[in-house]
Amino acid sequence: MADERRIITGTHIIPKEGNTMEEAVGTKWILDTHVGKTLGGKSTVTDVNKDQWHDDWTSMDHPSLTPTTTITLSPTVQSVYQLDDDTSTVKFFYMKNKGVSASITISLDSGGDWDSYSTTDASDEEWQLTTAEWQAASSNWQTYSDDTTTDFWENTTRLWEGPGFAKSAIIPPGGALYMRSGGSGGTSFTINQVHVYLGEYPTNGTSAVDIEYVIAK
Amino acid sequence: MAYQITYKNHITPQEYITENSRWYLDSDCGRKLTGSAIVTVSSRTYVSSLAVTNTPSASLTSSQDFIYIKNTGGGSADDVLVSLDGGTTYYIVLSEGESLATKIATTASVKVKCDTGNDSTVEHLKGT
Repeated sequence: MADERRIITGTHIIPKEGNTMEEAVGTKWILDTHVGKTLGGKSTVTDVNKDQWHDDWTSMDHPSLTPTTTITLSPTVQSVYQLDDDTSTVKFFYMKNKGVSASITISLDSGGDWDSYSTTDASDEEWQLTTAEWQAASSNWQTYSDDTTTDFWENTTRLWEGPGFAKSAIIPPGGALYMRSGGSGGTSFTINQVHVYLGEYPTNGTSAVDIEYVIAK
Repeated sequence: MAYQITYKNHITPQEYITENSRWYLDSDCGRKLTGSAIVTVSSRTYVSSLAVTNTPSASLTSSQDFIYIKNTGGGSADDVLVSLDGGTTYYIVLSEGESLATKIATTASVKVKCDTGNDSTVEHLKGT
């Protein structure tokens, strides 16, 4: 059992501008002359708990352990993945997109109830339906009119409000994202609020993506 | 002219064992973690210093694809809070020296602020 935990972080940015040459030899990329330097920052996150919420606080097992955990988002299975249903408050979050062609979109939104979707609220988002059957079902619900008073599905204006992905971070193939949360005056989020969307929302990704993550309370 | 932003985020989880009085690579992870990506944009804007107070900033982004923000620690060098949704929620906190680099949805609206009575400065780079 660890007696303390910490996470050392770093970000490195190389802004570049493309210069066109006399001959068509391809773009020459040089350091962006407007910025004039590389950018980045480092930190040590010390407020993560030594006792984590579950062994699944990382998607990895130590290389000496087997089997290795792999989390795959597949377009044939689901397009929205909830990391876990634990309700612990997140102090640190890291995720990498290990895919080669599809991006992923991250939402920290808890989502709403089945009937909380508002068609007039631009911030509300309809649950994304991925299969042809479900896409068609949306219109089926609207056209259902077997009974005027008692049928549960009859209210056609109510659609499931899924987690919001519209104003989110995107992780391209090979890329990673980390963030620290829980600052004074900020907004906390819980582990069960973390959702991953396969693709750049609202466009579904068409190839499977493996992800790795660290989510610490 | 085209522009590229290459960004890399990496982390090293560590655990401390009191009996040995030292930090080790966290045995739940077993390795350092890193990811790198390139965002190609047609325009970019770099601001070397923006004062941040408890009053939320104007949105730093409008139809942007990428944002980098670093708390450069001016003023009292307090923590900076970052919102991707126009100030509704501030999920991300940056202490002095810390930075955020991420591709974002073009509908994202990035704002920064500090807690009541606090202040700092940030540098930021955005591209679209």
